[in-house]
Amino acid sequence: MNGLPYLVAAWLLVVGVYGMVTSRHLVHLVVCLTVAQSSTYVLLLAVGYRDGAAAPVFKSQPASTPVVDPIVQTLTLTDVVVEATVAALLLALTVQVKKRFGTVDPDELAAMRD
Amino acid sequence: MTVASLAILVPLLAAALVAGVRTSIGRAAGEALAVTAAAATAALCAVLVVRAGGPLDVLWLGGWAPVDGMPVGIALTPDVMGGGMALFSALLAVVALLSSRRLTEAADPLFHALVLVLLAAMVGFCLGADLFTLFVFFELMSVCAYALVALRSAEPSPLQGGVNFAITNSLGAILLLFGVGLLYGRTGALNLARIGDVLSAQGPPDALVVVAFALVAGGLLVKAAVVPFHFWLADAYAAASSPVCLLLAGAFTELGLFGLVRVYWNVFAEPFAGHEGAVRVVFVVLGLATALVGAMMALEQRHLRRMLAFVTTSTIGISLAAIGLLEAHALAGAMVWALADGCAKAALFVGVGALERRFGTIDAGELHGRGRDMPFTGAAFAVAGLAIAGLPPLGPFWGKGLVDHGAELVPGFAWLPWAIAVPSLLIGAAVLRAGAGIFVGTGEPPRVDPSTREAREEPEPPEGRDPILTAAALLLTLAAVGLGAAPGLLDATLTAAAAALDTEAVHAAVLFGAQVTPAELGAPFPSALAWAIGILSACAAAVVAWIALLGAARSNAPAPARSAMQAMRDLHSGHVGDYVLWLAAGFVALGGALLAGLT
Amino acid sequence: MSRRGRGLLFLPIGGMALAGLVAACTGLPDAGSGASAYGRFVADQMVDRRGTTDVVSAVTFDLRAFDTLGEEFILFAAASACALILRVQAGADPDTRRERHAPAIAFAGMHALAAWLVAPTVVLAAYIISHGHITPGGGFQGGVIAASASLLVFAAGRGAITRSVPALEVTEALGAGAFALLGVGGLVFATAAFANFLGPGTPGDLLSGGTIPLANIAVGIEVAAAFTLIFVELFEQALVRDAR
Repeated sequence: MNGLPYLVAAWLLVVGVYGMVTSRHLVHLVVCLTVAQSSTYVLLLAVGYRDGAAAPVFKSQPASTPVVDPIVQTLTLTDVVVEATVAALLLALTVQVKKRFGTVDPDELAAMRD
Repeated sequence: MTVASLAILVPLLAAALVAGVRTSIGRAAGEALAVTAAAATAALCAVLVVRAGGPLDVLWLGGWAPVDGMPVGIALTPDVMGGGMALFSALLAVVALLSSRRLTEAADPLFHALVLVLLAAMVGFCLGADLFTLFVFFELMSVCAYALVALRSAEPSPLQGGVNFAITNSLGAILLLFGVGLLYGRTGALNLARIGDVLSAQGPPDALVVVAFALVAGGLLVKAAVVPFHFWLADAYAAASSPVCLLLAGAFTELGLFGLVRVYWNVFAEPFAGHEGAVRVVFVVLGLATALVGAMMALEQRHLRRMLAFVTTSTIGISLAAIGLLEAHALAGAMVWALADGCAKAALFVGVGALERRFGTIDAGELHGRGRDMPFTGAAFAVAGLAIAGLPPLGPFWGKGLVDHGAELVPGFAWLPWAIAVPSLLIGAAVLRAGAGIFVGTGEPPRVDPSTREAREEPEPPEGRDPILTAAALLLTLAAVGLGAAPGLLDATLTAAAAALDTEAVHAAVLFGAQVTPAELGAPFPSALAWAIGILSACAAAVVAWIALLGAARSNAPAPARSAMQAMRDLHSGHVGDYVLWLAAGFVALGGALLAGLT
Repeated sequence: MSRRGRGLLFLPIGGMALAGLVAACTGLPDAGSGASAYGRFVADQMVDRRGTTDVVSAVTFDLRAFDTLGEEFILFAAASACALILRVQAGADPDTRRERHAPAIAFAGMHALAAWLVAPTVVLAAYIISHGHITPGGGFQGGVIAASASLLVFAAGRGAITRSVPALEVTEALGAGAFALLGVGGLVFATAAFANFLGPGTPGDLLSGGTIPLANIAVGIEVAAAFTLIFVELFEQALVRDAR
């Protein structure tokens, strides 16, 4: 268990980029970008995790309970919002590309350029 | 230090206001509001620069001062380098907003709001002293840039440029964040000074520190469009309108390098002490490769904005090579060069915008000889081209002089001034060639570049000349020329660079509140060698431009050179999958080189 | 370069990248070994200093409020740009006659169910936003729940929701501006930007945490408006199709 989350994070990143490189559809490409992004979430949360600790909310537990790192939770929250909006922007562009060029295959789009 | 916080909050509030009321008030009112806000931000940044001369004033946001020596809040460090860069960005934003009405078709008032948010992001990036804050403002800058480039997307060609730009830069940001996560995991801190302190206390750098540096530096270099992360730049600039290009070329890409300087000297300089040689080699090689690729591609382009995009890539490469020397004079020289060159590029973008407005096209082939009655814009082109080539005593030359001095001080890099001169003369030649062809009509009209065909699918209706644009281009050129002559600028820049490089002093100020006044340094007058190189490169630029205009070069070039150029052109295919592949390869190469040199 | 060529070329690159990342990760402390000193400071001291029981909210809206400011405006910029891009495209070609279709879901039971769920969803969102400083939740989470209410409205067959776009844009700007104003408030009423200038109150009360509940509300408004705007513009794409 010790290093597994980090391995998962590294794997997600590489697989996501592989998907982006070999993609045949812009929506698939954006989703692969999302997969690569999720590697950062896994990394951040794994860095802050503490075995046997509780969530950092003290409403129903005493203030001295060991909790996981709240800082990385904030970082991940910010990260998720940022990446979701970037993905939305990219998908809006993809919709436009489809309407304008009639295709969302990067190979065909590049060929059209010439 | 309320000024620093206001410099970021004012444009954000103004942006929210402009966006909120944009359906109720007219476009002119929205523009006026935006220009006022941008000008106010510039004024605030100017105050910051003036006040920053003394000891470093650290602002802890939210009132969270360090607890038992551990920083818990977010710090802003408005030093001269950061404040100066923020001021320059604000001024460029004012120019972009003022020229937007003339250079783009009726833009939605959201354009003004987005420029203001971009400005706020740039100021925040320049002043921030916290790694995650840098990441957030890096992303904010990027998102605004994606939006601004894509906003003209009723036309077909901007779409692909915008998509490629957004995807490659987002991937760069993801990799940057991965590096931030690694650093937090190792050091438990997000404050730059604190991370640096903890890392240097942990002994020589191991794989984690080097890989984290490769990821963070690589992410910043993607934004700065360094080879092999540069492919998005030409596509994005071809797609964007001139005011957006101006802002991107002058400030956005430079901030990638600024971020690298900030992060390197605050975080990694101490842990990597003793291995500077390897770091120097990596960045100088990257910088020179970028400069040469940009220069060669620039000479090939007929689409004027793509040409300027490659000129930008090349100048970034030159700046990176100078920064890579890891020395105060070279860093100061790179800063002066970036400022003066930024003005020159802004002037060129305004000039190209004026041409587009007048003739409805930006293809050098179609414009050949048609600019004969625009002498002032032509003069601006010529002067800007010579300035970029490094002709003394125009502005960028003074930066080069400082860089040359720095290169002499670093053992083993005395050849760098000559190496830098080659790409700068080539890009100067590209600009001169374009200018002479359009404004004077010398030489044969170049064959039309297929990539400009897209841009002409829906040609803009030509309008008349605009004296305001001509005046703007001239003013910017004058700024580029005169920057070196500004009294005390070189000394102040050198002092600022030395202060930024002084990791110990910065750490002491941020972590312990020490008040260390940086030593005042006097910039040395450029050596005779620097003058000689400058004059030679300007002359060579003119010669190369002449040869290119005569068309002799293309047909008489040896076959291997021609096929090499064709191969390079094919690499810039516009296919996003290719771009991502080269990005990944670049990161792996950067990581590998650093691991080899540092462990 | 062909797709196959790219894939083959990426395999060694990806392999080396994976090796490098794994090598880097071996330098990290074991997963599960716990919070850094920074994290422990927050966990130990935030409840007393700020009166919030949800420490993550305290970090997001107080300790690191500046990052959240940047994040707010990323959302603002991206959502407005998204809307503009999709809208420009929709109106771009005046020649093609565009027909407005009813939403494709025609099952009446679905309509009723979705309509019934809208109000509880909005109430849930309001609860999560307002209690963000006490229990897990907050402006971002509640805002997204509120935005999902627009999905329910669409599922209920009310395509007219797309007429609310101008109001959504104004609301979005309002939310973003309100958050920035809280920062200015810190400057005006206290020592530095984003300082918490209201008293902490008793932990566990609805009125505790100083400016944190206010920040939650501002963010909730902005996130709800932004995501609703994105959804609504995408619905518009589905509803308006070219006439044959």
